[in-house]
Amino acid sequence: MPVLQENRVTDMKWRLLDYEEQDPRMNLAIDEAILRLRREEDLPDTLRLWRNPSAVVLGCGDDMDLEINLEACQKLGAVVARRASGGSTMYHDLGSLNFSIIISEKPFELPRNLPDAYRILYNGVVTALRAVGVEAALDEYGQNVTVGEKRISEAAQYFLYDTLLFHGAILVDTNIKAIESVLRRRKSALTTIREQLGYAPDLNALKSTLVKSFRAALGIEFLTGELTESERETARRLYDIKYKTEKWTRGREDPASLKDVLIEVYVAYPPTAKCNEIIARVERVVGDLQRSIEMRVWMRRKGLDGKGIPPGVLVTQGLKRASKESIVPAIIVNSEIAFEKRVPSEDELKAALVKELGREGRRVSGIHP
Amino acid sequence: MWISLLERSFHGDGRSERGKMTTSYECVLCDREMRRFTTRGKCSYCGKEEETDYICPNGHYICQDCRVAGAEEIIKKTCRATKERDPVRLAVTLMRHPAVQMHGLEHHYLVACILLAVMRNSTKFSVTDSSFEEAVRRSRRLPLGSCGSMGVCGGAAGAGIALSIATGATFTSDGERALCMTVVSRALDAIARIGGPRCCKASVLATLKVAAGLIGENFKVQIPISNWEGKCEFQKYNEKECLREVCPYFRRTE
Repeated sequence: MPVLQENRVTDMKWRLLDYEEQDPRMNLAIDEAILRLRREEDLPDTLRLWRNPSAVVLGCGDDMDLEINLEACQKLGAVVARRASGGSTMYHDLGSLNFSIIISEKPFELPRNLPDAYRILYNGVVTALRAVGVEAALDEYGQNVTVGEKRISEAAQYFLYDTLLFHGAILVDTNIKAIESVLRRRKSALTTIREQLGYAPDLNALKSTLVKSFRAALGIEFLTGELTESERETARRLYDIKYKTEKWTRGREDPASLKDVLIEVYVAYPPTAKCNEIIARVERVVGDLQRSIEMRVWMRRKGLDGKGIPPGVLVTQGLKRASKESIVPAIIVNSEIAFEKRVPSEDELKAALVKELGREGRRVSGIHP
Repeated sequence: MWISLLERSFHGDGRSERGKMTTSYECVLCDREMRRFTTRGKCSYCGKEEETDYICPNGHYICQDCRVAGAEEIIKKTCRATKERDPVRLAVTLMRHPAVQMHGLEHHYLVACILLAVMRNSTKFSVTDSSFEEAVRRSRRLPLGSCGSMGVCGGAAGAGIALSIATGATFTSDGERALCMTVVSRALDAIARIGGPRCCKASVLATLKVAAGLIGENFKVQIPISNWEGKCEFQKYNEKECLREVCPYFRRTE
């Protein structure tokens, strides 16, 4: 198999990444890092194959206390983690083979109807399972693979702008009894490849079958690749500020930015002369400070509750307030409206940012619109 | 929420500037692409003349002040300045402004100010600039959701407020007071017939239709009114609660 050069490939050539970490939360951070950098740094579409040690993985909106029996998790030594995508709570162990597909919608031209898109992506798993002798089929939503009435694979998805993370688990030799003990609200019956075939296939052989099936199902070529340094760095950052924190795992608090300070500029549509002056001034000050500051510019437009906000982009309470109260232009620093309807001087802006950078516990969480 | 991300994110370390600044904008009033053009232009809202920056092929220009205005400001400014006599056309223009949300308190004074403007423009009524301030002040007494919590839609009450200000009605008046109550009761009836959940756009349009008819009848003036039935352009912002085919304003061809 050819090796990916500089991690840049042409359309329909994907990176094949066979990479896992020991910490389930880091594995989830890696998925999100690949997703973020797919767009920001124009990295290739990716198929990642990986496994987690014993872990309970909550969907992004799941209530931990309702979903999980924490005592049973502790007894089992299962790590509790929360993923960025939705869907139901899942149990992973070394008997589950996970796959993550991270693709930009543009070159791939996914159907706008999402169940149809998932059906296309999930076909590789169905074909692979059939190739090893399991009578698998997609369910009507295109988000689970079943054998008869029992699920053998489940998946979930998350969009960031036009980039999709579609990830799921294939139950190869998963401890189903453990699932019954740790998940409180598990409704669908589950099965494994071992249960279906009477033996668990060799993991490497299964991975190869899976890659072949994805290649056939999606009409793509794979180039074996590795995580880039920036993906590793972003994954570490995500792990530190999101995936390993109780705020995220228990509280579902998602950081609005990976940077220490998020400065949002809320302007008119189209921006007026005053708005442009503010944008230029904030850019200058942010650039001068050379620190960990992210700047976002938002425009007030017709729309309601999230219309016009790219998928996966979180908004802050400060931005919501500026929007609701029609405070235009506004400069919002870590969710607080710092300047309203005026052009602050560069010194004022610097002072506001420096103060925020020096504040303890300054990170700001965002909300899905 | 009335926001959209301008395609720019700046990391502050000089490393990357993601995406490019959007340079193409759609006209708020007709959706056509605006182009950068400097000329003397008249604001489509407040009528102020100034040097333009972005103007659409239909000649729509929104001045710097109106682009940053809040809902109350844009409604008052526009209604004070307009020569429009058709309340529905004026309502749709105002409802297209990004400060006017899909639902909300601003629809209460939107109705009151629009009716005051078209009554003034019909030349039969003495409506001054302070009338609009008074209309907003009175409208603000009605809380958000008053349709459900009191049985009085703020938009319908806005019609009563406009007639009260234009006729000088008080609680001791006779005919004027009766007219104010009649317009509110008929508007409420029309709104109630549309059904729920509430739609502030439909309530405004139904109220304006009732009010224009009643003003015409009682004061022998012609209030021209566009028929907006089947032409709603706001339903896309109200997907979860839109009454769709049940609503007379629902646009079926979308």
